[in-house]
Amino acid sequence: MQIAMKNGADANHEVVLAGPRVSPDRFARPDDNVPEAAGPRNLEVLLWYRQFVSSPQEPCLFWNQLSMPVSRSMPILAWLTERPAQAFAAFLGLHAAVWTALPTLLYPNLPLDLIEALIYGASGSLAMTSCRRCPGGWSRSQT
Amino acid sequence: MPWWLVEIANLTIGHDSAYYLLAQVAVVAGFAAVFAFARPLIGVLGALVALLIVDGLHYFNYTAAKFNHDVVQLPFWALAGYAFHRALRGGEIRHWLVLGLAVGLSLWAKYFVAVLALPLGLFVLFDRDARKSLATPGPYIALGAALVVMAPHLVWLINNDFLPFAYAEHRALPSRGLIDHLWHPLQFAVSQLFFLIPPLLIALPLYWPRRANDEPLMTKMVDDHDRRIVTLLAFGRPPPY
Repeated sequence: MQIAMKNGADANHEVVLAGPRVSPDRFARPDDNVPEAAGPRNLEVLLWYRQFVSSPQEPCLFWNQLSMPVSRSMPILAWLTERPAQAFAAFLGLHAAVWTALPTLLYPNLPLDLIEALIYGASGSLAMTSCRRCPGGWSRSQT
Repeated sequence: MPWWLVEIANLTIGHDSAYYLLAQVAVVAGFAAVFAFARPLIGVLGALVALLIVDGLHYFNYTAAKFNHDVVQLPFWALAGYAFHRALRGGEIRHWLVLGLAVGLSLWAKYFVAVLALPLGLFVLFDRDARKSLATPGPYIALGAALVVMAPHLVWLINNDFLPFAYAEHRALPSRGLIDHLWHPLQFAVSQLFFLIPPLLIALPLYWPRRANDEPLMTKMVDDHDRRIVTLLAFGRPPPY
């Protein structure tokens, strides 16, 4: 279950569910007067938080992640928490796009390993045995 | 394997960007396996953080542009780690099968697979919890699947007197005396530590500034067996008991 918390001007938190709808009563904190700065040190509050992470499929790394107010000044964090699957896909897409575009635009030539791969791939070689320091008979590719 | 893939990219697309994209497909597939591995252990946000940390290693970004045996092995190693953990914790045959396929394909990617497969095998033999799996068909299915996938290349190696190993031996710089035997490993270790600086910097906010001592970093969803498996996959050996 994915949850995100919006931090208002006061210490009250509003829990926003990204997963299935659940009765709002379930999310009533045992003690709404726990100061925000105190963190999840109160055992009762910890247990309250625990109900959201009890599923072995979706545990939560950080206790602070749940108690931490997601500030309106950090919308990216709120988005990450609310839509982790999209964030994961975006990360993969961005990574692949950037590291495909950069060498395409900036490298004047293909790296040596790629030139080697093109040569031996085109020849259908199964293994390359050429070597400057090897005996002359080894300078051939095994097909 | 990388040469065949490059040749396929050459025949189908034929532009330089195709080779760089091919490398990124391998990297992204590796990331997907890491994410799938981490998600049940540390949650979806933790898994995203893990990806960011891993991405700090140059092997996944600018070094990956030179698509070679090192790059193509990334997804298979990650998949093997994922399947190994799931197989040991869940005991499902399909995970053992995936483990065998991943290890088998890793051999086609690079012979370095021995460094992965040997610790996995030793862990299954000597870890008190993992050893229980030997009473199930899973490990034997994984071994069989790996051997079936490896078989054509193993036959080729035998028929050709293990030529690639002789090539590697002749290409490697000869070590002269004790100094070289100490200096070369030290050089390698120092360079690897240097390359760890970016991921450590990315991970730094997890540990510094330190929050209150009574706030555990991780939930209790991860037990000792999980920790031993993860440590094995990260460092090549489990933590001391």
